[in-house]
Amino acid sequence: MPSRTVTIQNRDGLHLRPAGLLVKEAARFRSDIFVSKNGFEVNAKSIMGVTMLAAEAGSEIELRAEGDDAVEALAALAALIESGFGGIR
Amino acid sequence: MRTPGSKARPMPADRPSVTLKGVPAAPGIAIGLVHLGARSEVAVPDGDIALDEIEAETKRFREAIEKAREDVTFLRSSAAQEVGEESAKIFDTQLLFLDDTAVLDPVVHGIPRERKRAAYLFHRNVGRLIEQDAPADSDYFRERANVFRDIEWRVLRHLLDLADERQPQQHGVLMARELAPSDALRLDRSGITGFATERGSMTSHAAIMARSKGVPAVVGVKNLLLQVKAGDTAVVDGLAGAVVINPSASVLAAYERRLGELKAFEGSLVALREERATTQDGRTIDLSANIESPADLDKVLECGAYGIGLYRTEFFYIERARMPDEEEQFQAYREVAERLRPDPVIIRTMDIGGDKVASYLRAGPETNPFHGWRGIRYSLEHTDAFYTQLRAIYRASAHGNVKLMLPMITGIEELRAARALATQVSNELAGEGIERDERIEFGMMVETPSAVMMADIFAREVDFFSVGSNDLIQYTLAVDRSDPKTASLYQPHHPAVLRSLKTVVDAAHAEKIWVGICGEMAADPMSTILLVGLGFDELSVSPYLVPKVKTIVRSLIHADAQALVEQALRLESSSAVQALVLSRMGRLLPQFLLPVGDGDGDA
Repeated sequence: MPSRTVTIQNRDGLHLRPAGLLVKEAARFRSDIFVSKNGFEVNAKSIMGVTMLAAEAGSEIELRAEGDDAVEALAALAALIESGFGGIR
Repeated sequence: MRTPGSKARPMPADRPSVTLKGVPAAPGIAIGLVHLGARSEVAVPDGDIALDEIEAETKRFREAIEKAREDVTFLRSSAAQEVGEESAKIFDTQLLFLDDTAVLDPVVHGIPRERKRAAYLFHRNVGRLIEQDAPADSDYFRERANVFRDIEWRVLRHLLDLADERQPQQHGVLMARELAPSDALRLDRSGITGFATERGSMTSHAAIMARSKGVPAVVGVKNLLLQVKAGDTAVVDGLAGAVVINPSASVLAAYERRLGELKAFEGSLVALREERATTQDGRTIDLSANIESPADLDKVLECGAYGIGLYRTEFFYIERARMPDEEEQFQAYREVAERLRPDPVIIRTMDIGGDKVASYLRAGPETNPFHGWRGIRYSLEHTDAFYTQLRAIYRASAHGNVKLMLPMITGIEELRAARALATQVSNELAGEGIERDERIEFGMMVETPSAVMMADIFAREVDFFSVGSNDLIQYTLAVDRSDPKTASLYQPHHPAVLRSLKTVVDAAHAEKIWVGICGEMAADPMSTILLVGLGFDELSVSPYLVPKVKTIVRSLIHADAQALVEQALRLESSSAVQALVLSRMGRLLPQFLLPVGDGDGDA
């Protein structure tokens, strides 16, 4: 199953708002997508799940995807996270 | 009662003065009677259901979710218009909650498996999801809990069929453990002049909204609720980050002096209240305010607006369980018309559908609500509701300077059909001996490219145009602001937008009708000079922004603004236009270019 590790870039980390952007982006893909921090894994399409991670700036999270658009999904999510969610703090 | 860091003094009253410290979340000073903010808890009883109730219970759950979705969608668009896009995003998080399988599935599966009531299952499950792995002392997790409890509460109210909870007018300061997003949004409408919470931080949504609304606030005040009682007098000092409960006479006097000084400082803006938005070379622009309900009237009358440029009537249709009747609408429209008289009140007919829906009017699921079955299309399909609203508006027209406006017009047949219905209403009222303004001005929103391109034809058939800038920009540039991918492409200074606006203004003036503009662009300091230069006759903005926009207009020379627009219209990109405006505004009014941010980010 394809996976990628990314580092949280934006200053305040994965708080409610970037978590929402992540979930919205993940929802565009058909694959099942998971995000984990320190082994704690959640469904990337679940806002309750993603907001539980509370990943700080500089921390690493792992993305996993399973499905026919898995590779595309991982690329899109990685780009979103690595761009600092489009520059929000 | 002495506690560390507090001042206790003997008082004429029997309770000593206490000063508590917190985080200054929104600047300013508020002095008043304390109201304790406690949203009524929803009691969720455990309950079993019978085998034959399973389907109905599941359906009820789904409907409650959809109704909550409508409410929040409306709140979101309300927040975006009133306070700003940043504040609105907290409601996006609540919308995602309503889509979350972790929230929905346990209920949908639990109903047949455990044969329990949806409300019980939902409440139990959300509780787990909120508490799970949440560390005790974390601002972030508390904010998370606050936001999700708010949307949980909303769903439960629908599920348990509880009546609408309308906030009563309370004048004074609010003290609470925390403020839910939907309560923070409605804060100033309820008469509250300042607030303090035990929880929260500079970046929590309540702080963001407080700053946007200019309501002084202090957050993170430990033990606040242990120290304060309803009916106490308190000072909320949002500058120092302090809450003084039952201040002594001298402390109170000192704060009242400071408050007086602050008001005098803001007085330069308030002194503008009686002035019109007239440029240095004598062109007067009607600077009006946007409202959603009569509850907004005090704010409008205070801010120095010239009438109401947009009375959004969706409020009647959305946060409700049933269709509003004629009398209810008439009373509201009449109140607004009377209090604003002789200044104009422009009432926009129901703009339902698209991202604003009302369940009892819904036709069926839509694949792309953005290209919507909304506005006038909706109204012409649901003629009963439309007819009722027209009657209410026409009746109200006898009580003030009322004008009527149609949303989302894209073709001439729509306009004529609506007009015919309005004429029918007017004639019927005449036949019933009910007063109305026969010559009520009849206008339309210009918010689609088709309306722009046919502006010359439309201008012959209406009394005015109002450009809906948010939607016009989105449709013209093929951008959805709520989609993170395309949101950055939303560019009010795009040449296509400027050309569209010029087309509309020129078409209007060729037929000697007036043209106004509403939406975010109308209030954006970086756009005011362009709008004035383009020739707009009216700008309609949130009441909070009236003083600022008025100051800008009054600093401009219309002839210069026109010249600037001519230059801008020759440019090829949004960034080129922005650079041009920035350089001019930088010389003229640099103070308006200081970022008025939402703070240092948001949760």
